Amino acid sequence: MHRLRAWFLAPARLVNLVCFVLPLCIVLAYSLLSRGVYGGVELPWTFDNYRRLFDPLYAGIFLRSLWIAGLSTALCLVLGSPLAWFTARADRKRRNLYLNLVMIPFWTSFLVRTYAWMFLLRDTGLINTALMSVGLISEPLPLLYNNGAVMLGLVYGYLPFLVLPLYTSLEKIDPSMLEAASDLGAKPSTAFWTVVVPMAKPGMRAGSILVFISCIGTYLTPDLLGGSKTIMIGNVVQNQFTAARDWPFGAACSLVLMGLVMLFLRSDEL
Amino acid sequence: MAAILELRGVSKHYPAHRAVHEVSLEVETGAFYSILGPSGCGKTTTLRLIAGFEDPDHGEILLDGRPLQNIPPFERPVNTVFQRYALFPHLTVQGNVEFGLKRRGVDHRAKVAEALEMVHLTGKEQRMPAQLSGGEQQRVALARSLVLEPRVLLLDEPLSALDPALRKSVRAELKTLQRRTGITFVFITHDQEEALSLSDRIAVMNKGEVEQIGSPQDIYLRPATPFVATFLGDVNWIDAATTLGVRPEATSIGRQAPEVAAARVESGRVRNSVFLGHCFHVETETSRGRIVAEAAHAYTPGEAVFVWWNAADEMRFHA
Amino acid sequence: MRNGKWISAYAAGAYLFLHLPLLVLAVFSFNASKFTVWEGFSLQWYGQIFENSQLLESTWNSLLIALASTMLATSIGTLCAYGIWKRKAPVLSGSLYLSLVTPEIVTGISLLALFQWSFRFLGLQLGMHTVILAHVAFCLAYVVITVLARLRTFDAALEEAALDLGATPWQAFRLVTLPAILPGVIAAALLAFTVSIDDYVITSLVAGVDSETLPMVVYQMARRGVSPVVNAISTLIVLGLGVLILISERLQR
Repeated sequence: MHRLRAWFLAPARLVNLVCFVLPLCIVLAYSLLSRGVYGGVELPWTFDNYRRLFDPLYAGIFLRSLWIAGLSTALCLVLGSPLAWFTARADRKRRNLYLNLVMIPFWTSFLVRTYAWMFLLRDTGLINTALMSVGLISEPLPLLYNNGAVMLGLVYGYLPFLVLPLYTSLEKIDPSMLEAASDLGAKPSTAFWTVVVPMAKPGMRAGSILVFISCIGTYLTPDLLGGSKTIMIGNVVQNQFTAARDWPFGAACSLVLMGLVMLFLRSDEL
Repeated sequence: MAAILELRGVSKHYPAHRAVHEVSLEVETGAFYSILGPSGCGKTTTLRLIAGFEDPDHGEILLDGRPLQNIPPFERPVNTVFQRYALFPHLTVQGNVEFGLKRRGVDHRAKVAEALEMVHLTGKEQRMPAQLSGGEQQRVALARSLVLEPRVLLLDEPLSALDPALRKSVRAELKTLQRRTGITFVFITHDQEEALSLSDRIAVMNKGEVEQIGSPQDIYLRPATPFVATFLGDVNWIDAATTLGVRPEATSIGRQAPEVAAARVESGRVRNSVFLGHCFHVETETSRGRIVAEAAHAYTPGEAVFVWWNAADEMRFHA
Repeated sequence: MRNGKWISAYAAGAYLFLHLPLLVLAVFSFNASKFTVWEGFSLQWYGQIFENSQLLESTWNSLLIALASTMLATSIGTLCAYGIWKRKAPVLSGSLYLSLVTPEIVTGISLLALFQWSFRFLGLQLGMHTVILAHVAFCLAYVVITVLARLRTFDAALEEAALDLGATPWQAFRLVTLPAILPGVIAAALLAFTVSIDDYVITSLVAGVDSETLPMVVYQMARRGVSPVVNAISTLIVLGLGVLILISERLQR
């Protein structure tokens, strides 16, 4: 029986090794090599690529990425928590419908959903066209290509990541628990802070981490909705591997990004 | 009669606990053999070792004198009726019963019909398991195993998932089925009444070890250990060290001392009487401690009474 | 416990926030005008999709890639989930989980690095095959998680019963376990298909000249400026994937 299991696991092990572990090892090696004359990499081994991360230009981008991701996460928490609460308190029969209302757009094309905001926010987009046609403004508002647009896109894109785990936590709160709390003399607000919040914490934490690591590693959202001043780590990585053809530096950036993601993932266990 | 199944010093240890330790037992051909014990005593692990779902760390399991070691479950001529039956939900009754025959490549039509008739399920061949009652599901599980004519049929608490009203009638059917087929049954249970009423032989297990093996009467009347005595029924302990006990139903009570010569007599006071339907259990306080006697009528708390029993009914244990 | 008026109103607002952008997009895909001013109903942009050979070709590529990688990822992932379910494989599970949370851009460039590096010895080029391999890699974790969730509701005694009745481990898997978890496997396949057909970031990095996918073309068109054709194709994508996801959700219940 153990032999069959080994055969069953073998293809997945192979795919994971060749298409995940090995590529990361290659990236690690690249990050310690020098940039080749025609792109690519060459000897000697060096730490210069990591040192360059402290260049104010790149350090600034890293800090901004953390800041944008943090703020977007906070926004998701504020906007998503009532929604999770609403879903968890709804009729048992309707909960699935409410959950699907959140999850279905989530699974359908991240690219299209980001494009939808371009369509709305562009100078010639729906909002500006509408405002101009009713005469509220004469010049289009600069809605797109700024931090606000990026954060809007991130919140829109990753809100379900917060709602789902939080809902799972909140669903476990039996209404009779709140009745018991009030029976034991707790005011509704006291019951909320002593029963609901402690029970919601694991879901809030898991959801926030998911949103944060998705935001910090994002590429498409700042690429499409952000301007030249709103690039994030993901865009630096992409740029180094394409236009700039500085693979070693791009590799170093990716590994630091990967490290950040793993750091925040681990924070769940602490 | 020869032993069809034999366990010799079988042990299975997990990191956290000793599930089965040095278990040895012999099951005779055609016997209804029960392994009785509380939950967690190792009886289910013992069954899984015989079926081949687990491998023993030490010891040997022999079937017809041949060791079963390294023979996978699907090659062992032993079949199991699972606790919650484990019927294949996507197959019909027919599909479930012919599953094993198909694996052997045997012509199955007649055999399946015969097996279903034996468990009174003729006409329900095309039903799905979900459409059957608990009792019917259990009979499908039986038919599915019996149709393969196993050397030994293992039954893992097959009655525990049934509702109490059904249990007694199914118990009788099980016994009849075993007699008719002549197949050796190894029956796992935690219910002493089930074990006592069905079995030819019983092995009582506790904490992974066999405490006693014997006939139902042996086990009940002459328990080898205090554990066996208390697991099978109530015991009055005559001394603090639990080396001497007597069962309440062997203990008499009266307002006057008995005139029987052989009796052991104690005087005491009644604490209370509990009505059990067919009798009263009268709890008394004596110089030997608390002693419960069976009586036809109630006694008033505080009354001075005598309790007595025959020396032959005493159960003695080594300290 | 019921929801009050305020929170219900808030929830309605939130659902609107999640759905309105897509709805508006869809509405304007039927606009007769090229600009974002409503000038009447028209199907001309949908018509243009079928005249655009780049769109059609890339759709065909996307379907081929998604089908191939779905089949591979589902088979490999189902077997893998079964293996993990039998006995934990902490290293493999951990690695798969990590691959799921790795930023797409990192997955993309590391695969690109792998292909560029190995092709020096193999004399191959980026193309359909590299895209499919990449898609199998990132769909794998989704399949494993979905199938594993289904296996957790499967009664292991059923498989033991099959072995007990004389089925070999392989027969027990094929005749008992697989039929029982099939809804989960189909759900996983649908999920893998949507994830694959929708991917832009990784695909754009490992695609060759002959393997341009639909998201890549949509991306280019979106960058270039407003074109109602993008609205039209977007609407079709959302509808198509929405249906697949709905079926997948149903099957997982």
